[in-house]
Amino acid sequence: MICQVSRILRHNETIIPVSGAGSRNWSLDEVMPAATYSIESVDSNQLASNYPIEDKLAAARCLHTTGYLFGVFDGHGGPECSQVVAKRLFNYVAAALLPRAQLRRLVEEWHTSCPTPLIQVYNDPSLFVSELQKIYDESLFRYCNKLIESIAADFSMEEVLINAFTQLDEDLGREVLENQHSDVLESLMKVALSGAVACVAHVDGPHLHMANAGDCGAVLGSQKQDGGGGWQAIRLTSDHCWENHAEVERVLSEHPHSEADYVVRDQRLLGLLMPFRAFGDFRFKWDRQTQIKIIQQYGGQDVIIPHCLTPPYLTALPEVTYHRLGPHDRFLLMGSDGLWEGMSALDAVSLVGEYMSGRQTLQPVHFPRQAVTLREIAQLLEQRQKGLALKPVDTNASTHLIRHALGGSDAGLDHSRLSHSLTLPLEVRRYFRDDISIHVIFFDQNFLRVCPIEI
Amino acid sequence: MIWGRVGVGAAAGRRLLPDHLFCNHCNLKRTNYDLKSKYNYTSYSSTLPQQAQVVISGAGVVGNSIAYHLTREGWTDVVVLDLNKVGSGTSHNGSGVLGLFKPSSERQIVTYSVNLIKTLQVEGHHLGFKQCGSLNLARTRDRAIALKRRIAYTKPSGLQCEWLDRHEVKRRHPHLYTGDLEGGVWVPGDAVADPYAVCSTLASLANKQGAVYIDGCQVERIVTDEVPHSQVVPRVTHVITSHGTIHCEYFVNASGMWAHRLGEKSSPKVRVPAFPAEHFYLHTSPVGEAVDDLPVVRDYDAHTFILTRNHQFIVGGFERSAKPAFPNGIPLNWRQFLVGDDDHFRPIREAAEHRLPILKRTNYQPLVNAPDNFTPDGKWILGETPEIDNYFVAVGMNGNSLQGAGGAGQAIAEWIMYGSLAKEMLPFDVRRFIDLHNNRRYLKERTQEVVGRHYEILYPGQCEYRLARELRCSPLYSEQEARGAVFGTRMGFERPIYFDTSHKRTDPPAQMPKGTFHKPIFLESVREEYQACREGVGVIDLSSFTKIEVTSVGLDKYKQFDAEETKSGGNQVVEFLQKLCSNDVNLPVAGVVHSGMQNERGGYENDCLLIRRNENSYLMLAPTTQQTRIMDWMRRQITPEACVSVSDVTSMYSVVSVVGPKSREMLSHLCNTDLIFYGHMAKEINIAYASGVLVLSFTHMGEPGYTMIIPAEYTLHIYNQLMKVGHDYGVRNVGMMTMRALRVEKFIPFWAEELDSTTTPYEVGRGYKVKLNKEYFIGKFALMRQNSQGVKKRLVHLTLDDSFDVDTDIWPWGGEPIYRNNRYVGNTTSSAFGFTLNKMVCLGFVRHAEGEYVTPQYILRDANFEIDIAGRRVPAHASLQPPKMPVVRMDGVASYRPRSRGIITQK
Repeated sequence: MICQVSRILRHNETIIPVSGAGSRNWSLDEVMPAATYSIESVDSNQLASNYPIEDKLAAARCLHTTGYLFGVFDGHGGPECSQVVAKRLFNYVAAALLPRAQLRRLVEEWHTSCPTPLIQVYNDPSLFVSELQKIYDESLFRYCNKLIESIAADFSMEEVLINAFTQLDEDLGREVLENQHSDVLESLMKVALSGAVACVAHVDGPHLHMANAGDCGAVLGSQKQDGGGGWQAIRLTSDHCWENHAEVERVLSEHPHSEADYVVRDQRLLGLLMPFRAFGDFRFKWDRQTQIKIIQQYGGQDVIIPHCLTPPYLTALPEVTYHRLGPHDRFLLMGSDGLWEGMSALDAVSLVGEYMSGRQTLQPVHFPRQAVTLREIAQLLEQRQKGLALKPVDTNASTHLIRHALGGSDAGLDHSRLSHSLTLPLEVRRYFRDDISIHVIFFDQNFLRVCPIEI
Repeated sequence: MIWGRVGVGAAAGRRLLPDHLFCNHCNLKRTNYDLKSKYNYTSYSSTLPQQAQVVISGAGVVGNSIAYHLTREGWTDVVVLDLNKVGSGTSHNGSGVLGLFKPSSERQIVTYSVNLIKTLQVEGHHLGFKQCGSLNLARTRDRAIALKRRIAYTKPSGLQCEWLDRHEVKRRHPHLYTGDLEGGVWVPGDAVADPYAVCSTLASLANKQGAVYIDGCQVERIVTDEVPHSQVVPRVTHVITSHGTIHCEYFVNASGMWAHRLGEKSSPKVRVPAFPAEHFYLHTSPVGEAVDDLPVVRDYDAHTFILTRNHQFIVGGFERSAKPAFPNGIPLNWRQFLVGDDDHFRPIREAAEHRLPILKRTNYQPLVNAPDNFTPDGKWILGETPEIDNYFVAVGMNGNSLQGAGGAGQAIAEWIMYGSLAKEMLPFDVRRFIDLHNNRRYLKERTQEVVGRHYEILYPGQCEYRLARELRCSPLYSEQEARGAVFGTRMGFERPIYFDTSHKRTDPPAQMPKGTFHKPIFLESVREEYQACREGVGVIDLSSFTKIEVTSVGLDKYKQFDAEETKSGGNQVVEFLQKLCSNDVNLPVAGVVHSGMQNERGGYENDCLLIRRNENSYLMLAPTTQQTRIMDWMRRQITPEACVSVSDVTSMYSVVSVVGPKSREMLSHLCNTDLIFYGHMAKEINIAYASGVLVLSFTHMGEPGYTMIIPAEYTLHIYNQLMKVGHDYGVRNVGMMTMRALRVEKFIPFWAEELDSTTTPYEVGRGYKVKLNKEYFIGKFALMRQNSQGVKKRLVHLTLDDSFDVDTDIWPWGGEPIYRNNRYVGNTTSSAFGFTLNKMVCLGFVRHAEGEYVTPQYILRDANFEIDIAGRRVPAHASLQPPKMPVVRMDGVASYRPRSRGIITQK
């Protein structure tokens, strides 16, 4: 029984091989400041509730600039939008990160030979159908040209992330309008009409930038500095939903006062949508004429939202935050709302923290120095035993989190509750739990301790 | 007007003594020293006048020289007192050698002495003067480097000196054994004179010019005037002697061995830190080989010198471990206590016999013990004392009173007559000492070492004293020692020079390795400290800095004052400091400003940081060596009406700087205060569990960071907390050597190396810190003139060419001559290896070769600079701006951009 539960839980678990094996296939003339990479390892996992799953995890490395990108995408109204955004967004970010001259060279190369990729994607072998791919390449190409032609202002990470988000969202809509007679119109429509919230992290050495639109969340696990070894959860994102007062204010301020009763109703945008920011969902974004023209012929009259008078109501504009990683910051937790419904930020951080101390003791006994007394060995072993008692069943922190999110109770892990939750019939599952997707990014403490400030 | 000198010279009548009062004195009793009987030296005893303009105590060669120079310039109202008779002290005991091959400040003075004696001899006085030259020998390669360095920086002065190989040395002095020599320096200008003859001749000349000599007169007390309040420096009024009272305007203490005691005979007491050491001379019987024109031989590595006089060889030495003389005070019949210590002298005798083998065949006369005064740093003590106005000191001739006497006498006379000196006397300034230096136990201990140092290789920056150490220590001393600090002293204060990275906590204290003129062995330790300050965070203890509180007196914060009164209290201290400082120091409370204090010529008297603590008080941070000097300078500016007090609070506070881009993040773990400082403001905040720490966002080495002024008792606590928190930031302890590397590379001039009383702000590129548009301040007119006319010298940042190999070449250490298009234009002042520039960096003053104004074009256009390092000219690039170095900000946020890795194509 336990095995079966674990098998289900571990079905999607992955470990992302950052800064290691992946980079060896690349040419030597690249600047490869491996030592500046603060990431030790990344554990990811997903547990589906919807079928097919509407969440999507993504991880990639920028090939031409330093840094890694991680994303959690939580779709709604179908898996299409989250899948597409997850696969395309990082290209937009990577392109904007490049110095103009290099981007120009790269774009020139795309015309001549086989295109040079902008990013190296981890753990995602799937491909778009070629017609779609063509359209998407075209959009990216356009964006690159726009970047090249734009006046190079001072570089700002915030601007890069915001531009990438909004541009991709704009492209999702434009692609529908421009390909009315394409074979893949239906796919494009599905992408545009479903939605996805996104939470993206850019990690380069000690620099952590978060861009968040919607209700996924990222939390930094930080060790308390009072010496007690306790954990501290630092929230790096705020949810864009009705609970966020500032967000409600923002939405209300963007529409005439007369609409105030309808814009936010039943804790939802126009009474329909939980997140206040998202990709796709063009029913909330297109103006009425476009909606009538495009949507009606596709889905019928009732698809148009009654109170959608002054669109757009929804935006993909992300909120960008910066955090400089310090030696006490041990890991970053990124999760879709399915996780945060199940546990608080601090619980999650503590769980991963415990998991870490367990993982440490799994390594072979290592004497600190040559001359060691028997007493010290005894102490060491005792500590180790204590660690083993804490040893989690899982070797993946994300799996560990999911296990506790589902089976957690006041008395510790409740196995029956866990298996019950996992074996719910497909039809009712959605009412008990959402899709859960988690990235846990562990940082290299030693690196952060010594890393010079200018990196 | 510097400090209100009244010209009485004209008013005073000449006091020429009738000839009949001159009497011949030929019966001086000297134990085992009876050379001088053929001289008829004059002594003049008369009744003590009631008053004189200048009273000089001590009729030794120095006192006579001062009297001679004063009277020669028309200040004839001079009385010279001596306990015994003219020249009865120690001054005629010296070797009589005048050595010119010295650092520049000493050389100036000795050169004057040589010229003076030469002139007098030409005028017909028999002074035994002969310019026989000297041979300065090197046995080791390091000694050879030391001497060649000295040749390099002596040559531009016009003094002739040349390097000889051992064969040429032999040619100059055929009796020498030269088989073990690397070579030597031939200085033809060096001379020998008869110190006794010089002493008595100067006395008789001074007397002829009007000075009155009183024999057998003991000074009992130097009396000063009443002062309105304790902040005003008292002035000499009269001297009480065994012969009665004499009123005077100036008093000069030139009493040699007795000067220290004499210093105690006034209220307040005057510091004269000098201690006699036994000093031996061995004379041979007259021998044929000892012809008069044989050069003086200095065998530095054997601490020995040999000269010839009257067909005798005379052997002397500056032994490594000397014997302090008269540890229990100088008895009246002191000569009887002097015995030659043959055992003690044996190493020197043997070294001399090794060098001059014919000595083995000659007979020696009994060893002469001729003690002389030595100072704690082996340099003369000259100048006006900080304790009493118009009280001058000229002592501490360090074993050879003759060579200094002429120049020092002239300098003191000029100082008395004009109130200040045109030349730089910082190394000899009596104000370089604090009370501890005057402690007899300290002096006795240090004297043992000081004597031998005269002949030792003083490796730059690596030649700390061995004795009388661990005297003034920061609260962090023990902790720093455990962490591998290697200490050096400044004003008796132990300061970490660097931290030995290989040192472990349980090891014995880290020691400085043997010195070198090349790359120091510990450079890697310095590099790590440097990098911490540039990229991470470093902690540096600057507790030795002088801290002075300047307050308007009469204001008590617990007492009620009406608004008017409080305001005026604040105004007074501001007024006072505005007069002293060239920058605008009228700050809001908590403001911080960096300012110079100028003298009338615009030169620096002080380089300090001022923090306004209250409406009516400022705290001043000044360089360590300024402790006595600046207190004196400031107190002399206080007028009796001014209600301002200055008090030295150096011991109350420690100063710790946290330096480097990570300092804010690290420090923020220890306090709840926002560490972003707007403008130049100080904050008084709590750090760790301590309170009342004054934090400035300023560091002395131009890196981002904070300087904390900590009440002394909290220092260790804060330091420990910094180290604990700092572990996560890779914090490092940082020493003075790193501070130097940082500031030299960034072109930041420092006190006593670049800044001194002959240097103005415009000459060092600090003109922007001078506010000519504010009301009068001392030096304003000189600076205004300079600002409009231009400067005669300019501090320049010089980076050595790539032909200089840091690992193998001899380093510049400061003092090297600078050549511009092959013409000598100045000397370097300090140097360091610039780790960021990856080049050797020197700072130095450049003058115009034709004596015109130095313009930027002169430095930057068509100018090929070279620096002469121990005889090798190294090309250097000159700049008037600090080099462009990457600035590492405290917050990496705004500047962040992922770095491009180039276009990477998949293979």
